Amino acid sequence: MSPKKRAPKAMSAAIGKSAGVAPGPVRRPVAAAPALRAEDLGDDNESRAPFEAFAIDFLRARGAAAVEFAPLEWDITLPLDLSKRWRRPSMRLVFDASRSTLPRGAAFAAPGSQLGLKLLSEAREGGHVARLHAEERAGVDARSVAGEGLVLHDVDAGAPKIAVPMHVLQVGFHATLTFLGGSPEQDLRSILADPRGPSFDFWEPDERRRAHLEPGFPAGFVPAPLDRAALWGEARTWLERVLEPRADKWKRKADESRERDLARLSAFYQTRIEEERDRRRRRRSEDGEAEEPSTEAALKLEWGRRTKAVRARYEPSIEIRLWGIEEIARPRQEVRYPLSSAGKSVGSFAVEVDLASGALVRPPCPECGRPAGEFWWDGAGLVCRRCRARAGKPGSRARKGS
Amino acid sequence: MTTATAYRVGQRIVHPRFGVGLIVEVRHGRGSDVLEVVFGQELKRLSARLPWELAGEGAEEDLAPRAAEDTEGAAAAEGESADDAAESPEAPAGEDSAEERSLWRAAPEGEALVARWAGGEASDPALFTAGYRAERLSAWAAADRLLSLDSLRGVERFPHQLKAALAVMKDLGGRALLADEVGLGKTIEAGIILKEYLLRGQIRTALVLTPASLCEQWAEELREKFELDFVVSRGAEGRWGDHPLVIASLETARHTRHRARVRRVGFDLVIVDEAHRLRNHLTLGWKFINELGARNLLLLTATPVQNDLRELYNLVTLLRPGAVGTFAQFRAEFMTAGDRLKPRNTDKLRALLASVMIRAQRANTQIKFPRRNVKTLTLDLSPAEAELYRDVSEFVIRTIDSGDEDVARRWYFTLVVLQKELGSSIAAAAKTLQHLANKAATGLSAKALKELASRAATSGRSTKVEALVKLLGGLEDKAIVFTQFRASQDEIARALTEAGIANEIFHGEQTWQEKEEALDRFRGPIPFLISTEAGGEGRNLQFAHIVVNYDLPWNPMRVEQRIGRVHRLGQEHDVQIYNLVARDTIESYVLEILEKKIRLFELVVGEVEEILGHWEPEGSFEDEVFKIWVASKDDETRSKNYAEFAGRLAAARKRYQEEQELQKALLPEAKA
Repeated sequence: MSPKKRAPKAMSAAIGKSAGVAPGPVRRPVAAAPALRAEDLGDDNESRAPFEAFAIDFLRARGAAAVEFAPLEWDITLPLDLSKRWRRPSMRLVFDASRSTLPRGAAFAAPGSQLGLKLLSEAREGGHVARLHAEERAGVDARSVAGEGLVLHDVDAGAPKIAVPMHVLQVGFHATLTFLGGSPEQDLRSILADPRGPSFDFWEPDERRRAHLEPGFPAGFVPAPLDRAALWGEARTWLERVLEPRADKWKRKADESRERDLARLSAFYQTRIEEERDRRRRRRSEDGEAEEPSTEAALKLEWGRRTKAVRARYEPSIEIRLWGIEEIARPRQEVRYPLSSAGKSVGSFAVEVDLASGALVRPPCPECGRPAGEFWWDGAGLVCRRCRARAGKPGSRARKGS
Repeated sequence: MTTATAYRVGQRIVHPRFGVGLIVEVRHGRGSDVLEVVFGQELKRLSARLPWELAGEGAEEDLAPRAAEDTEGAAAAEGESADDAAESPEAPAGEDSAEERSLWRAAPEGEALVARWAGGEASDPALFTAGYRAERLSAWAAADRLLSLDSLRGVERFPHQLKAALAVMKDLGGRALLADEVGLGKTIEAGIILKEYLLRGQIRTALVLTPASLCEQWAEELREKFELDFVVSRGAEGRWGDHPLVIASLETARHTRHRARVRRVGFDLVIVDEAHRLRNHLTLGWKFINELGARNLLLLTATPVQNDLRELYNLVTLLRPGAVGTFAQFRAEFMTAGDRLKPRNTDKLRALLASVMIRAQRANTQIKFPRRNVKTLTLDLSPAEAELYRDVSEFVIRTIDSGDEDVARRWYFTLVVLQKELGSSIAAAAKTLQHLANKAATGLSAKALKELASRAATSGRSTKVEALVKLLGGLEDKAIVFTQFRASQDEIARALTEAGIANEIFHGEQTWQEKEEALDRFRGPIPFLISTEAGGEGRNLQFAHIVVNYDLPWNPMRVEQRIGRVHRLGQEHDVQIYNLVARDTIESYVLEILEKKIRLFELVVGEVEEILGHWEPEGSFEDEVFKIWVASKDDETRSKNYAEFAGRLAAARKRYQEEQELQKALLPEAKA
């Protein structure tokens, strides 16, 4: 399919409704932000061990002075508030786990050491909200990016209209999921939300790292009013829906473990009670051969107590703890294709090109809302492969120029 | 909720007054159908003809009213607390079944963050970054990640320990018998599990139960290696409930004065060290642990079985009742009639034990345990030294054996130290002799003391020092020379320096800075470190592999600790031990016992302790050694008495070895 045949249709559902976006020319961001690079945003500084990098950067961000005394040893002068709270004006941090002794007044800093836990808890306290933006990459041609990335079938696309660049708002939610019941597990999940749909997708740490985010919003960018609590509510609902199979599996596992343990207890105590009755009937003496002699009632109480403990242990639940929110301004440019079928105009189709990554933002299917890169004209509108198959028209593999 | 009139054991019902209870009995009799139901700590009888509500999964156990915590106080006897069967059900307390309740729940701090966000709050991006990193560093995400490892300082960790910790948490549900062979680091495994649970927020309180003599050592080790601040609970008041992390002796915790309070705390994790003390189910200790109801329980022992397979059954039943059936079932299936130590169906037994036990064996850990090579240099003292040794020893014996109990009691410990000093060096003894002579000590012969002190002060160069200088002069690797006394240490250092041999001294009176500098120099160019025991504790000296015992402590554990400074997991060379001992001294007898009977120098870390555990003296090893020395009238009697003592220790070693063979034959091995 030639670029000419790739054409968009008006998308009221997702892109067309750009109510939350302040369209307009792309503005350069404020340059005053500190020199915080992408690698600072959650990635490990390669020159230092992760925890050392975290501790030193955090303390500096809190206003402490940090001077490297020796490899894996830092002298820290604490800011007033921390020095009051920690009851010391300065300290030496030792990151070397192989040292069996520490200099006087020094503290060992590692994720599970006392000081390490203090630092982590201080840094995590209450969670954080950040405002960031992605810089526009030079030389991105939205027309050719859109032409290369989008595949349309059974419809003709005309010459696209290229809108002026603008910034759109995305929201990143970072949460920790703890699966409780039996041997607990944890998942760190990040969700990237587009409030205009809204639409949601998982946001992997690698993608986040590649996003090259800079601190602050671009000058003049004011996001449209947003019901933030509602957006988080929808993100959570989406997350729960997407993870439903995992949650079901978790619950099944907890249930099976519980039932197995309960069956073992039940068999044990029922047999013990029977043995106890038998012992009483035979009036056998309490010799060393017998089980610890108990009354039936004592055994029953013990059974009840242990059953309760097993149930408590395997009570399944999944806790979502949201600890980070990022509002991100991304530079975008809309490319709108007029569509025609059998020589008749059938509307238009708009897609967005992300000017920071230089990639097409896969538009949501007008039918189901899932992002897709390939669409078919079904006589009334464009649909994705999945919607087409559901309608009984198995999607043939796209042919270039079909 | 559903209701039913046909009940079965194991179902749970919801009672409007008592909450959720477990049906433990359904009786159908003439005219009355009765259910016995456990609600919390109480056993109730209810009519089985009434349509009680059956509880769905996840029904709140807490609906049950809190009964007395102390089961001894609660009426446990059958019928005593049973209600009448005529109890009639009322409207159920409203509760959802699991099907109705969501599996998901939001943590309140997240909702608070959303509220702050909605209010327009934004953080400094650098602090956001720190928070982001902190979350990732704090999360344990994959169940296989052990957070605690990052925080262990100066601790060697080995794959079998990490596997054990993970297996206990993932597969054994936090209830396990850690039965690694001696010297493989059960304490470290328990510490990792404890720390991991604390870091993951899965426990908040923990209780470590050890023999009384080990309480402080555990506290110290948990503080040093794991940065965990435990308090030792002692005395009438105890520390129950006022601190989340407590260490106590099993005897203290199970004492009638404390046990109800211990139970009330409801410790999330209980660790029992030397858990072979729980092998007997009739002991108060076993009963106490059985009733404690700890969610997580770790039993640490290298020898779960000693005299009877039942001991193994008892330990397993503490952890997982029913894992190997009731005892009658266990006996029928796994024990041989007439031989309480001979197992049957061993494969099946091992498979069952694997659900509750972790046991690593040295042979399977792929850890190279360095060999210990020992060489004893038996020296003949110079005639003057030998005479002085004999005279001072006679003075000591005469004083203790004088018949004046006041004098003997008053000076007993001073004289023991004097005798030990004499075994180390005359220089060390000279100080004490001079001190006693100067004080004109009550009941002691001042004249004799002055004479002995004068001879000691002018005794000249020591035979042992000369032998040491010669020995070190011929060594090509670094060596640590241990002595018990500062005076001996000074004499050695002086002699080495005079001979042009570079050395460093290391002792407990040095400042931290001085110690660090001495160790740095020893790590660097200086070949020899002259150390007292007190100075060397907790120091990692594995870069050396030669130990010289300039003198010999009478306590085998102290000898073991010296060797342990270099003979540890991870030592890459065989360890060479040199003992310097003068003929016909106490030390020569002690050395013979250690070398020939206990065969201490062939053992691995921890085994000496186990062997001594099999020897049951009235006093300590040290006391026994000194008592025999004092009580023997002549050399022949002395040799005979020491030989008899050695015989008892050899028997203890044999018993220990037999036990090890039994564990090896019986217990499942951890997968390599």
